[in-house]
Amino acid sequence: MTPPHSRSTDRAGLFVLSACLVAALLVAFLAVRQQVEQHSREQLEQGTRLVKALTAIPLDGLTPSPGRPDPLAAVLRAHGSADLAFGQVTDAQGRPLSEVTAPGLTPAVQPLAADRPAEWFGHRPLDSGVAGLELMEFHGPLLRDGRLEGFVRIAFRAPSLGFNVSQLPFLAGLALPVLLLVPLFFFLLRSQLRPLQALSARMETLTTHAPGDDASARDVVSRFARFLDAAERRIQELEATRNDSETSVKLLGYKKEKVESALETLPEGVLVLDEGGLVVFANAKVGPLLGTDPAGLLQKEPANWAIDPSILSVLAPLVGSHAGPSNHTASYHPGADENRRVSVWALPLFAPRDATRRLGTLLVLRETTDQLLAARARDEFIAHVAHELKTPLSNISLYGELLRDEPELAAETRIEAVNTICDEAERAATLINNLLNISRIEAGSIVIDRQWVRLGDLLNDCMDHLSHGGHTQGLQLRVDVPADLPPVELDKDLLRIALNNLLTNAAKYNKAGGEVILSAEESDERILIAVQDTGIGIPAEDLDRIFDKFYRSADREAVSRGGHGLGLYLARQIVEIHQGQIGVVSQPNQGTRITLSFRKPHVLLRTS
Amino acid sequence: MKRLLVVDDEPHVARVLRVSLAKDGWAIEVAHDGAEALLAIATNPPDVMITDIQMPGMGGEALCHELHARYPTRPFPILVMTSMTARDQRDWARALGGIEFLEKPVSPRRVASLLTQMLDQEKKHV
Repeated sequence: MTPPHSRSTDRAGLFVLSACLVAALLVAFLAVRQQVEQHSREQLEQGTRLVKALTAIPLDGLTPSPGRPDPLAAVLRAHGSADLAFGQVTDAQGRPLSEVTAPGLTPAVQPLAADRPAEWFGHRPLDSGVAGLELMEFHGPLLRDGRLEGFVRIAFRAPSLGFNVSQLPFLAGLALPVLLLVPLFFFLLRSQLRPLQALSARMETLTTHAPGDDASARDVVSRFARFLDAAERRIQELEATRNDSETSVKLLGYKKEKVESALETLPEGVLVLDEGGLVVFANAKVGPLLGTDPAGLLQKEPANWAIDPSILSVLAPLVGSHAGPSNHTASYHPGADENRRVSVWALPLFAPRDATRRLGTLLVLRETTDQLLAARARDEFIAHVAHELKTPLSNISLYGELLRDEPELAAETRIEAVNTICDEAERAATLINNLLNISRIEAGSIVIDRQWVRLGDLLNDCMDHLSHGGHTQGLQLRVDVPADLPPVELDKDLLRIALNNLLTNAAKYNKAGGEVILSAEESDERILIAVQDTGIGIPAEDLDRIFDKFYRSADREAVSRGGHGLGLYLARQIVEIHQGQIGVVSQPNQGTRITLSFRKPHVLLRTS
Repeated sequence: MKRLLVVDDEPHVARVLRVSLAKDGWAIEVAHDGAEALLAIATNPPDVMITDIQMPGMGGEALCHELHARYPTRPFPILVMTSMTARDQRDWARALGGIEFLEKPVSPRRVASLLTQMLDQEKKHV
């Protein structure tokens, strides 16, 4: 049974075949044309060359003479071109001297103008006298000593598309592949189309649900469909997995960046070591603490970069292979500088969800120089305070035991003992009070409580306090405050502490029969309070430092009169939190004047 | 009469000891710092010296080293009385030898018995 569509397939085949033939013919036509053009170009070249060769021969050499054959005919014959149809030699006036013409041709020769040398050399079409035959004439002048003697001209049969016996071998050569290729195309086409025809027929049957013989085909198709479904599902799964992986990678990258950024931001130097003890991360702050470039630490063992044995000792228990005393925290002095200290902590790293799986070790380096210096300062402070407290206690104890153990003491000694005990108790109490006040001021916890103070009253109070405290026998105490001094806004309690310390010093370091003057005065912008004595004075070398904490003059006379080096420091602190200034003028053996200077309220307002 | 040199920048120790040691037959001399003590020792060495550590100028530790250098045979025992913790001071004192320590506050009786004891030991040595 012939399928209904086979006829149309044949028609298609025929069409393809015809198309092939047309194409082959077209190719043949183009090839012939190409050959003709090629031939024309060759002829042009050949003709020009030949004319040039002939013009080189003198006119005599080209004209026939008795006893020898016509030279033109000989030359043309020797050239031997089948296309050569005509040759002529003329004199300057165009009269033919010699002529050779192919049989059957009567060329209509055009004369050449002797007066237009530009036209002497050249080529032009020449009527052959035979229908359908074109000639191409080439001509050139015959010259002797620059004088025109004549012309030579030759003519070739021009190549044409028309049938030519000489083209027969070429046409045959063209026809053979065309004749061979066309059947080959046909058979190839048929063999290629056959399976497509079969498939097409099958598909048509299936799509039209033809009953009967296509049950197995449906089975195949359904199996194929199932396979396609499965494949598609698998592809979707793979796609989803790939997306998940990409997301995870991005997330991990993000997390890693986040963690690294956090580690870089930490104020401490951070090193992360893997299980083998090789550095896998080091933040920039590690550099100055280890004195090396953090990037150079990567993939290095601790022994290569640990600048102090203490680093190895903290790592030893965590990084297996190193032996040594186990200590998870330690400190060292970088660059062997005793005034710098770096503390080191080593911590084991565990997997986030599995606390038994070690991931490596975290090494934290922190510059603890501040703490070191603070601890030293604290130790020195405590030692100093302890010494200063022990001294009055020791004296109290000494005199107390003397009183207890020596019942036969002279009255004079007994009075001295009791007085000393009282003085030393007061000295200890003053020290403690000053320490408390200094600590409050230094901690910034003291709130300045400004009140309007009448300085006359306050200064008289302070002087009264001094006169009742002893040590003022034989001293003249004087308060000198102008009656019209306006009230001043100050913290009365703090100012009283400062003045009491200054007055105590003025009395303590005075001479017998000396004077203590407490005065106040005002200028346009300032209130000045001065404590002046006529005492032993302060050596010039000490003046710069007497307001420093715990500073004591080495002057023997000053030392013998006690003191703990806090009174003037506290006075300065109190003046400074009032934004005031403290100054000293002193002459050894003449006396000392300490001045407190406070800006008046309107000045304070103006400057703030 | 036994002679005791008290080296202290504060007057109280010397004053109290002068009273409490008088009946034991001690005569008290006073120096206010190391340099003054060296001067007193050069003119008339005491039987025992008591010194404070913290003093302006030459302190007690420097004084002991200086004495050790000047008198290698150590002509008299030294009692160091300090309000600092004695523990911090023991190393140099032990290195020099023949130095006793007493932490402030001190009792005059304890000083008296310690002085007698040191003097006895010194006599045995000699």
